[in-house]
Amino acid sequence: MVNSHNPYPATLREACMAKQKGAVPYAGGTDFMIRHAKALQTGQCPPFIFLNDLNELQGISNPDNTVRIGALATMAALSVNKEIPGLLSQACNCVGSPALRSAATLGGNICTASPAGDSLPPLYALGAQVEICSPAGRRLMPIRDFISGPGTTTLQSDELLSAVILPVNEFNEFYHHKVSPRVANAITKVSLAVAARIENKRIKKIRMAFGSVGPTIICCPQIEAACTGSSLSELLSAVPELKIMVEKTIKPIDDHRSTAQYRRSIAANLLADCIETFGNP
Amino acid sequence: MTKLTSFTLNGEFVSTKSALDLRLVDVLRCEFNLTGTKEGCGEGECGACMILLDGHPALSCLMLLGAAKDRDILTIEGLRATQGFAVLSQAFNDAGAVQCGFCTPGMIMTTYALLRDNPNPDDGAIRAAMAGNLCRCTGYSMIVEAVSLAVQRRGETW
Ligand SMILES: Cc1cc2nc3c(=O)[nH]c(=O)nc-3n(C[C@H](O)[C@H](O)[C@H](O)COP(=O)(O)OP(=O)(O)OC[C@H]3O[C@@H](n4cnc5c(N)ncnc54)[C@H](O)[C@@H]3O)c2cc1C
Ligand code: FES
Ligand code: FES
Repeated sequence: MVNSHNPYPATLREACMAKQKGAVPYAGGTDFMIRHAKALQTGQCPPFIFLNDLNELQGISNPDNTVRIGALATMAALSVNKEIPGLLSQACNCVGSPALRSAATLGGNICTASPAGDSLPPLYALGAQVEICSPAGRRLMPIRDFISGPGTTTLQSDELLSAVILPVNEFNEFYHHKVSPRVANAITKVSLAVAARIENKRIKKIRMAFGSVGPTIICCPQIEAACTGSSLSELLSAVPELKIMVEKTIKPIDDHRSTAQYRRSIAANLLADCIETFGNP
Repeated sequence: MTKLTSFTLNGEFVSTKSALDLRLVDVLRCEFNLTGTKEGCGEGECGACMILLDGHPALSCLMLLGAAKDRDILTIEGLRATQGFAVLSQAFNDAGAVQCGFCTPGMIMTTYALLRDNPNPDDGAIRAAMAGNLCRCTGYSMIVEAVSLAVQRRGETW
């Protein structure tokens, strides 16, 4: 390890400058340790910075009708937090195992940008914005623009993800389901997150996002448009057509975790399950 | 310049000059000779390396030494000195929850934290808390039984 910088930066500015010079951020370390496992064995680990001392990346607050979640918030903390939308809590509680959730952070999950990242479908469905900081200042952008491909983001070399901003009270009904071979430590085969505003048994607004069925999270603007304005009973009778729309929207592949065919039928079934859950509360 | 990493280990303040990019599990086992903490998978999947970090179950194979700075670490050796350990080890023994024993230190660490935070867990809560601890020998029924036995016997031990 050649750490020419302080591995424990005390300010965001110092951290961003170290990152620009090639230091890899270490938040919970749960992806870091796997990605650099070989290098760690041979003493070839790239230089790194521990983010833990950076107060700006901590905490959960409620500025005007939104909730701001610091990038270092852990999956364990988010699983039990009552200020954030339940959709996100539920998904965070599906990550890994209890001990893994105590270490794994929301910022790490986003920056890893895996199509199987469990926090991502809820963040897409809720319309999350990410806050990015650099020595030049802060900027906000929608998460769907931040994640540019499997494992890639638009983060620049001198930038860190500082927080996630979510609207609150925009939706009143949520659905989340993760399909995986066992409850703990199993990467998602397919997942669905849905956020809806339902008034008088009618869909006013609905957003949905599928995980693990494409190179990034799959959004469904056409299905959302088809659902909006419908009553729940109309939706229940439209399930067969909606399932076909799901199969056409997602882009699953065969890999060592599952097959495209399995993912396609399960994804369609998840939407059906969601509509039945909304329709028969 | 040598960087010292200091932390609390089993109640004692310790410092090490070791490289920050060593895995904590290796430092505990090779430098501090605390070999009760096991490495099973080395990938965060099995829980054999479970320690308590600031009181909460944590995977020592999945963190760097540098991330332990200023934290409070308890290993099975630290727990061993407590009355709680006596209750837990007897319960695991009586339930037949130990065969090769490789997973047992991790299981005990997780159980200790679970029962501290939830003195009366039901079967579901026990299984949820232990979901990250794998055992290749025993089968999980005996382990859940061991935890239930410890629930009945622990009284006010911890
Ligand atoms: C056994 C096991 C099971 C797992 N199960 C799941 C699962 O079920 N679901 C799931 O989604 N994931 C799972 N993961 C993956 C991982 O735990 C998550 O992605 C986790 O949220 C990563 O967070 P972290 O804080 O540990 O990230 P780290 O490893 O610290 O960082 C991850 C990456 O993001 C970068 N980074 C972190 N924070 C920032 C920041 N603020 N700004 C800029 N860059 C940053 C790091 O440089 C690194 O490249 C699992 C991993 C393991 C080992
Ligand atoms: S050795 Fe750490 S989880 Fe398996
Ligand atoms: S007793 Fe052998 S792994 Fe659990």
